[in-house]
Amino acid sequence: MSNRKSRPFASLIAQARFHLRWAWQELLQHRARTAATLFGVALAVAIVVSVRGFFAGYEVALRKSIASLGFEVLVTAKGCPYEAATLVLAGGKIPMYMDESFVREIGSRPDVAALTRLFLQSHSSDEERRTYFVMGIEPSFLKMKPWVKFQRGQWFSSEHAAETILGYNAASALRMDLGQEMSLPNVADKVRVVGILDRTGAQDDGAVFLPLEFAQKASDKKNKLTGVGVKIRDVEDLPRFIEEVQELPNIQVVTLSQARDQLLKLVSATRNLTLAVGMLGVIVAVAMVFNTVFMSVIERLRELGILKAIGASAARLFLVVVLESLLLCVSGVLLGFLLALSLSRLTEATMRWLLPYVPTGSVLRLDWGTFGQILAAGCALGVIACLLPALRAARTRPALTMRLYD
Amino acid sequence: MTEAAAGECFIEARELTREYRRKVELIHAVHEVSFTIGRGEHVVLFGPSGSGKTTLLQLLAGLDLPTHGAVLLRGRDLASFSEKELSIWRSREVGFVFQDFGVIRSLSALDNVRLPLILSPDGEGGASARATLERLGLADRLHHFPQQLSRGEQQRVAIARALIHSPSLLLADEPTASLDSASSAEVVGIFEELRAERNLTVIVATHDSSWIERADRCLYLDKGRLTRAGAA
Repeated sequence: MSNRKSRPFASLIAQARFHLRWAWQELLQHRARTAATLFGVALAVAIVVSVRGFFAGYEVALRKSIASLGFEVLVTAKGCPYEAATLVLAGGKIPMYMDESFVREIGSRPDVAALTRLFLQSHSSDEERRTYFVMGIEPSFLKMKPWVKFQRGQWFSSEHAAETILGYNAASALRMDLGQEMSLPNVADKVRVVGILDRTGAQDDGAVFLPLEFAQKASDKKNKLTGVGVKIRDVEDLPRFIEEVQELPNIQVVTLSQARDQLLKLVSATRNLTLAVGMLGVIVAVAMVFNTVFMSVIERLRELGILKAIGASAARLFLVVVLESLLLCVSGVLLGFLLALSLSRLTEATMRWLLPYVPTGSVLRLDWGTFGQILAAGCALGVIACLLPALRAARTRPALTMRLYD
Repeated sequence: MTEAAAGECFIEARELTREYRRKVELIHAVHEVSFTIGRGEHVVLFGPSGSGKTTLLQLLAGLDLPTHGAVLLRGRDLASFSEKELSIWRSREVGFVFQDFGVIRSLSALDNVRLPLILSPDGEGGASARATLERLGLADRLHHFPQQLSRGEQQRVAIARALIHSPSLLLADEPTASLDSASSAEVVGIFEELRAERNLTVIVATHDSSWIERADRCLYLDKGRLTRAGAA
């Protein structure tokens, strides 16, 4: 009697389609309850996907931004390492300046391949509700970044000229073109646009570049620098370079890997907090799935008894309930992923508001790998959530349930 | 066809007893009932409400276990079947018609009828669900859900479901109790036709006397005891 005939593949497909349709119809019997559970699952998934996708993208974008700086070490005046890390990437109102006299000393070292003097400022304009990331640079800045090209225009006519070169995004955001003049907050003279850089996908895209000496003079910081970018000849020389330069008075050396680690440490608290909110959402969603499936089983005890009477095995009833839960979870994951996609701009804007530094461009990464992992996790949680109801269904005793409800 | 004429003993109840405890009171739903039913016989379990007909039917289908006694299927005690063997036996050889139809509300008429084939470990076989529904006059109701069908139509769906996998045993629990007289007569007629066509062993539990004249034999139950047995 228990000999089981081999079933053709087409029959299995037909069975699977039947069960899927049945599970869906069953969920539609209680539309409001199903919709509420789907929304709960989707919301939890959207939060987890967004947070996970953002911070995965954040690390990649941060590495890319740091690699695009063109130097390995930033020498700055002594101060907070977090500030220095942010300074490296996005500038800031940091009242710490180093004297240019150190540049010659550092540049004369045999282990230094190249260096560039930097005068970084960020100027906020309350009228325009805009923050300008202004960099005073010298020709060696572009020599250290051979991949940065002019889209149009050229280098400054002199180191004192009231001229500016705009990053690709800055030109677009400010709607400026070659030959036009613009005002900058805290800079008395108007500056004329002489060059616009091609897109780099890094922080340079959003920057406003000024000739170094003009920038120093405009801020009344003649012969002062916010930092010096240094390219080391041999990476093995880096520890000795750090050790010796750190001994100079009021000087600190920040390597780019340190800068990256400091920033990641800084954002980890935000990441953990938002992930905790997401996990709380997941726990609530699992409870909602459990409740929906358990209620469905309790309401259908008589039907389950009838199914057993007409030949359903305990394993089959178990699978029927698991399938309903899986359908609920998979639909919730799909909706959650769509929700995360549609709210990606809002997520980015919120994170930029929360975090001290976010690389330019779109950071949120929602790829097939993330989708696959979230889907697998959703299915696993769906099975866990329905285990008790499914066991209850499998253990249905037809005679008892039919008598109970007759 | 009488018990003797039926020849081969298909199913046998041997001193079958089923007791329940309701608080402190012991209820004898079925008490020391013995009979045999041959292959192809049409037997009516007749008695008033609460006489133990449904319990007896559930014992015969292996849906419940007796407190004492045994149900023998072709000589083998149903109590010796594993849960899995019982499921397979029911899915291959038993058709069940319930008093309140027992159709699944989330499935269309067609899917309700296909259900035993889907649940069967064989996964296929039996007649076409569409043809069976057409045979029972429901050709234009294939994709309707139970709530869109009349009670008579729902019962015909239940009968189609009970027959789709070509069972050898058809058990019906008060199949006309929820129907009006016209629908009842229709269902009785369908049972008679099907039995003639398929050599089914049919056991109907009912308190509707219109079934008695159509049956080969009638077993009269009262308070769980078999009070009389004989040709209808």
